[in-house]
Amino acid sequence: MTRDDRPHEADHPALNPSETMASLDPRYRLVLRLEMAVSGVLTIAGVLLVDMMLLRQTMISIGAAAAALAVVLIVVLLLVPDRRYRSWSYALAAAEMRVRHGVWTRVDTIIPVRRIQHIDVAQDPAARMFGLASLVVHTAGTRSSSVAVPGLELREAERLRDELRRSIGQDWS
Amino acid sequence: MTLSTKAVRRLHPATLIISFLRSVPEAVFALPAIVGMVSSARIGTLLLLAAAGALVAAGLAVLTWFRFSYGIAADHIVIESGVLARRRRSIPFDRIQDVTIERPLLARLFGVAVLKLETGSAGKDEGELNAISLGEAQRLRDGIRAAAAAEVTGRVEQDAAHEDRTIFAMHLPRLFLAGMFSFSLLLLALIAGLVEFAAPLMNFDFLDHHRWMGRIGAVADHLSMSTTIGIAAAVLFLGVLGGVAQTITRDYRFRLLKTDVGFRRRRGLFTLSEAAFAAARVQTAVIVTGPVRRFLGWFRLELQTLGSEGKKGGHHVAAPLARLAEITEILNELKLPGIVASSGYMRVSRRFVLHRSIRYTAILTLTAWLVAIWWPWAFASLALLPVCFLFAELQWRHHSYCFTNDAVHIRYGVLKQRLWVIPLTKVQAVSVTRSFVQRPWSLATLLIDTAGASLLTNARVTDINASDAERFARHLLSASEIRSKRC
Repeated sequence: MTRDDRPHEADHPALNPSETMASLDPRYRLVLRLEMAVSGVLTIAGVLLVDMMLLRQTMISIGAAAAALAVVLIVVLLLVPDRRYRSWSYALAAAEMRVRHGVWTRVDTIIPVRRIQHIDVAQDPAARMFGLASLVVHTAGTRSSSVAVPGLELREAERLRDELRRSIGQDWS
Repeated sequence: MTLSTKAVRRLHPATLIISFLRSVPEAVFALPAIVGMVSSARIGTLLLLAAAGALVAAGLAVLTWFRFSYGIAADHIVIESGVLARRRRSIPFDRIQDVTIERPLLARLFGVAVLKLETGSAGKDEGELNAISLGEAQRLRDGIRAAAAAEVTGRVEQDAAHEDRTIFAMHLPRLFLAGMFSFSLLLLALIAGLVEFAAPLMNFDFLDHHRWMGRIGAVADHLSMSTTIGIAAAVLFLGVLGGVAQTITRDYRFRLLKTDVGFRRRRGLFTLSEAAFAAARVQTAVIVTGPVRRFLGWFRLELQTLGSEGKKGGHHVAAPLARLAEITEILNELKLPGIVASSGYMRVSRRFVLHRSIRYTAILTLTAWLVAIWWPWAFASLALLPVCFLFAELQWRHHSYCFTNDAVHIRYGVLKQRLWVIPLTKVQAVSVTRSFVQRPWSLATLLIDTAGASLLTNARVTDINASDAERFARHLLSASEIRSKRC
């Protein structure tokens, strides 16, 4: 991982700098690229289909819209996954879990460990291809009824889950 | 009083008569439609078919009634139902959060009641006994409540059925006043519905589009200023009347009673409803008012509880219209944090006004621009911008917050003014968000999440200094940590 890949502390100047936040697994960028590429290609295929079926009489040649979309997709694939990846960070302290994410609107969520109702480790197909998983923490709240940290190495996700479980257990005893 | 008599019980036989009577209006309303559709068919055959259908339905109803039973064990209630696919559901008493007794008009005539048990799950695991005798319903409620109280306090209450104390009540004059403030177009909709229903009888097709358009055009030609004002006044009058009627039907003889574990709310003119809540389930108090009500010193108290999904987002009205002193009294009785005097509040950043103004300008310009593609005059709506700026200023004046030792208080809203009082022990999670507009100004929004909160109107402090937001988030969580450790 290069220096540039890590979340910049300067991105969150107002927040406590002494706290070290961990970043996601760098392979998460590949997961994001793959997912975006698949949905992008599907969209372009759909546009092409509509183009061929409905718009035969228009002055714009067939495939122009799809070609424009393809260019947009390439630009998006080059830029967005890195930014999204960098926006994520998380930390696990004794009594609380903290998750930051968001490119345009940055969200910093703090969940007290004893508020956690249950914990999931989830793997979608794209993440599974790269051996990644996401940790999903559920609370009784409405907005924070499920808070997810995606792009963790499966072993790391399980380690975090066990650590959370231990601290929940301590809190109850 | 003990509940542990594990005999199989059935619903009250009157249930059958009630369900039959309830189905009569539907049949009556459906009759003209059926007759209209098959006027060519022979009436005799039709009646025969209808009779056969009614017989089958009655048989099914009796079977359903016969196959529905419930039993009470020492610590849980078992409900068995289903004609072919049997379902046996057992609900432990300590999982029951709210016990509600409802008495619709028909049920009152037969001296029965509907008992509803809410468990706080996603609606599926709830229990409903529709209907049992009123005495049985009250006995069950008291027994379940005593069992739940024993769970909480660790001791069995010898006399759980002692008299509950009234902590808030509304009499007719105040009920009337409360109705005046709740404008409702229900009456208007009712009239429209009646007209539509009666239209075929009057041989006039109200749904005839061309005819309507012609009429509207003709009406518009003759529409003078005075008629417009007259119509507006009529709508306003009907709206107020509708509000009064709705409020009186719903909140007639409104009573809030304090019980040994929480509180109980009794209300209703035709349908008597009674709901019981455990005090420990109350998450947040929301005090709602409007500009006129506030000027006159009237407020409404809502309590946000766990496990009452579907009903106004988990909000229960604890006092529809009350003075601040009465609300303080209720909050005291329920051991909730009190209200802070308005001098104790802090305002959000002054940049809030600029932020909102930018937002409204962007929305208005974009909308005007889009509409202008078809209708160039849309740009005239930009003249509304000063009004938007004024509104933003008003919003700033009505948005403030306050942290105390045991709660966070947030005021927000110009037309519907809300005051959230969130006990620190009930905070589930805290988020600090900073949008791309807020970041250059180092502003942030503090979101406080509680259980049962609504997604649309949640507690948030918009546009405070980012460093303050961070500090408050820490304060909120550390305080809640210490407090819940103590108890």
